[in-house]
Amino acid sequence: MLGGKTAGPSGPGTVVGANVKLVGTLQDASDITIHGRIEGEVISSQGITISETAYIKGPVSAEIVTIAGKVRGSITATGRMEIQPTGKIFGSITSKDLSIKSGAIFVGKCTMPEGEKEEEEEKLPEKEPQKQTTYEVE
Amino acid sequence: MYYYIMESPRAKIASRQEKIKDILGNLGIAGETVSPSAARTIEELTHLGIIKGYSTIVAVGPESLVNKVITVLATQKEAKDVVLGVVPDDFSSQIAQKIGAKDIYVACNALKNRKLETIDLCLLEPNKYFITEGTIETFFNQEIYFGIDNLKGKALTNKIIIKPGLEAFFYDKSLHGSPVASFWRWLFGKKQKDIYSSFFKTKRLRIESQNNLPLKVSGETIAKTPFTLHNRSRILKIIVARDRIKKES
Repeated sequence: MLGGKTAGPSGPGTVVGANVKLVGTLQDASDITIHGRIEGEVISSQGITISETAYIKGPVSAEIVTIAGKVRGSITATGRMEIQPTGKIFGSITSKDLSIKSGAIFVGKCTMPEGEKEEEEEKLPEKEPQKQTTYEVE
Repeated sequence: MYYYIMESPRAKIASRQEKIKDILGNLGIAGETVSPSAARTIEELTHLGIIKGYSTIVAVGPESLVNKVITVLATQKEAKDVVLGVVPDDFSSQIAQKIGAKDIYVACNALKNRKLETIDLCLLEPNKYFITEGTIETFFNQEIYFGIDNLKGKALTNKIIIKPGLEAFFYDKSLHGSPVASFWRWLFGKKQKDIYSSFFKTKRLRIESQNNLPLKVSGETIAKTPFTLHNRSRILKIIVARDRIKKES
């Protein structure tokens, strides 16, 4: 339901038709499918599907995000993010699991929280011998 | 215990009403029966039933009568514990499907068995309620402005269906395309993917348009745009049939 429903999903979830323009925050506990135009935030606890005809100007946040349309804004997927060949993203993306298909346009910064953790873990053992060396010089 | 509000008796429905009274009598649930007249409206009769202390008020007749009874039951504080029963006149209607009544006998038996369900209602500002769906329909696509909670929107639509629970379906004539295109699709048996229809579930919905479009409930115009609807969840106890199969939404 719009306006922040806490209970589980009921019904088909929100669908925004191709001839619909929305301004404001679209929030739903169920899936959201967008074929139209939205200026504002789009938030779902489940999945967001942005179809080929869709245009979103604002941040997008969900567990699973599939993009075939155009997005100007940051996108956060706590689970999987898929950018289809027709997808166009101008903004930063944050995802655990990312798939960008050939033909898609992505202009922005990509952050993968899990990947960053792994990199930090790899860097840590390299620093310790350096400390030892310093100690020997003293 | 039972208070029956029946349609004004006309020659057409008189025999049907007699049949209902017979069935109710045989089931042992006959009660006070009233009908609206020039002196007393359906709303006034419902109010009287509440004042008299009846625990079950039964609307016998069309959906428009049921919606009028519901409006009084939902707005009056004294009606908090009153249960609504329905004996529809058309068993293919939405209200008949909602309570699971296939015929007069099932509807009357349900009243005796008193299986209760708490249902959602749509509130049309300032004080009209309805249990069945409301429709706005035009021949051509119209530009509609709507507000949903903290969202404002504009849509091209030729039909809006609003169901209790405030589920709004916006249909768009663009889906059918030009007559030539729809002919070719029909000829080759191709189905067009529906990217034009919209669906929203909300607590509050405001609809505005350039022309005053009518909102029809059970074929009766109850409002014209602009209007505001609210969802009143689990507000009314209604008697349903025992063997009712719930429709998956």
